[in-house]
Amino acid sequence: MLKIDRATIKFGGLTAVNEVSFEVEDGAIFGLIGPNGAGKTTLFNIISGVYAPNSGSVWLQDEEITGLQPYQICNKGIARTYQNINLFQTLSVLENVKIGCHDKIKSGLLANILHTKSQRTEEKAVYEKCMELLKFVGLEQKAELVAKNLSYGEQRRLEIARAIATEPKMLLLDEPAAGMNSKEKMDLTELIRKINKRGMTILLVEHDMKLVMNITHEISVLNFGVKIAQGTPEEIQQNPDVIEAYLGGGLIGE
Amino acid sequence: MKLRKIFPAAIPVIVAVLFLAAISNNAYYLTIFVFCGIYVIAVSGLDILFGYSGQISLGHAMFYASGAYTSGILTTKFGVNPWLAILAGLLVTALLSFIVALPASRLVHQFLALLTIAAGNMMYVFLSKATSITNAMAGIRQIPDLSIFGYELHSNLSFAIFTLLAVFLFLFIKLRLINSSTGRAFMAIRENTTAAGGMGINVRKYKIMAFIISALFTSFAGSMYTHFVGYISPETFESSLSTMLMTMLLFGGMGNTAGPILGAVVIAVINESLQSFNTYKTLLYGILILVAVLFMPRGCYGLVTDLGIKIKTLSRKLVKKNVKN
Repeated sequence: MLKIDRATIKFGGLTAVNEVSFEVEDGAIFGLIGPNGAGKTTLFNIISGVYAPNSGSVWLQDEEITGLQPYQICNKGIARTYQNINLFQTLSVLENVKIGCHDKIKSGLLANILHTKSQRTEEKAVYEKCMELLKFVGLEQKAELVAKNLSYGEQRRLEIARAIATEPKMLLLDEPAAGMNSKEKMDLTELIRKINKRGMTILLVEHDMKLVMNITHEISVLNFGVKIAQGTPEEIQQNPDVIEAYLGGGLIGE
Repeated sequence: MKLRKIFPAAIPVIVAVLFLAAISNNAYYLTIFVFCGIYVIAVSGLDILFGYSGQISLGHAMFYASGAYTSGILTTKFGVNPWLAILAGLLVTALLSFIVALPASRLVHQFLALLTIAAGNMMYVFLSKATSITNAMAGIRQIPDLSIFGYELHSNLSFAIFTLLAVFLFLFIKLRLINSSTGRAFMAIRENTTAAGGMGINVRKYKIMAFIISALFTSFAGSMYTHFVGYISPETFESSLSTMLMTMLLFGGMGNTAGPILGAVVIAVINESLQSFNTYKTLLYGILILVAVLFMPRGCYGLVTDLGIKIKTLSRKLVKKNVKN
């Protein structure tokens, strides 16, 4: 599904991501972990087009997407959520999700102004699709609320709903559990599984080891911009490099 | 259900029509009415740009001017039908705003403000220096009236009726636009440019689109001005006009339909009643912008809606108290 080939990016003298390569299988839940500042979010930004890498390439289903604009990458089928929530704050929950549908809407400017029949049918379909998605993430009761008035956990779920609305093949989740309590985390784990069952491949950056070990099929570990290990959760838990570099000794998953 | 949907929109329509009927005998009031209408269209256009897509323009007078001058020049020098001239004005403005939007769509905040000020001033200099095209400071005189099916909109009343229809048409277009995928894309850009791009919106394309649509509204208002007054000269299109449009928007409240109407009408009326203090007009805009920015960031409209909410909660509390007693 997604292939990253020797991606490298430098900010001034700092090499934030250094020759990182990995491949995410179709339908997998792939984890990307590492200590703070390891380059996980930077790598996300490279994949989603926020940064263009200095060298190396990114491939989505045998198509190179390196250096494309974020909106182009989204329209190719990669959607993402943000570590520091990036919702459309003063718009309603429903409108937030509707904006996610933007690229799939065919009505143009003229049809929108003329309110043609096909435009109305389409808007109705968009409404239904968005309500279904809100129900899927458990926010259907809050559709008319302004996004900024949602709780932290709800805002994270809204970001997920908005990302799914773009109908991606691949979903990038950047620390979706940050700031959530344990009940919310359990719900989130369930939700990620459900999304995966809908046929979306998932790339997950997360600090909560319990959650990561619990749901991922495969994990890559970054440290100081370099990939130090890759394998199944069990392999990663026993990898001495990971234990030393990432945890400084001790057990993963406690 | 359908009636309930139409009803809120019907009230202002009825009020406007009744108001127009009430003042139909007074030529002076009709003139003010027409000016209010022209500004409502121009400011609604500015609202699409600043209120909805979050891009500031302090040079909107240039689009008002490009509409006004295209109408004026084509009708007087080439004898073109006024309606065709308005259409040509819209085309010229579309091209002009596209050229301005190309660099503008890459800029934000103070840099965008500076670029639009510069562009507005360039237009003013062009109008006041290009004698062979714009007749410079002497201006263009004897611009013909608009006519509908051979009926000339010469009287103030007929033009006022036309203005009312034009206002309805443009507000209608604005509403349709805002409540569609295009409007949502504009608002997404305003709220969070990063996320808008991440959600598959071509930010640059929609920024340019907002610029052009906004300019078209203002251009039409400019053409109306030309045909109503019958005479145009550069000083009308100075940067103070851009400032006035922005004052109207900030004072009325942006990002909704009622705000630009409120702002345009209130300030046009104040403007008119202070005709004898012409020199101090800009001072007044300054004060009004200060008041708006400091004490009512959402403008008159925000003030009114906040008041409405307060009254509602207060009355609810009172009802609860009464029930308890």
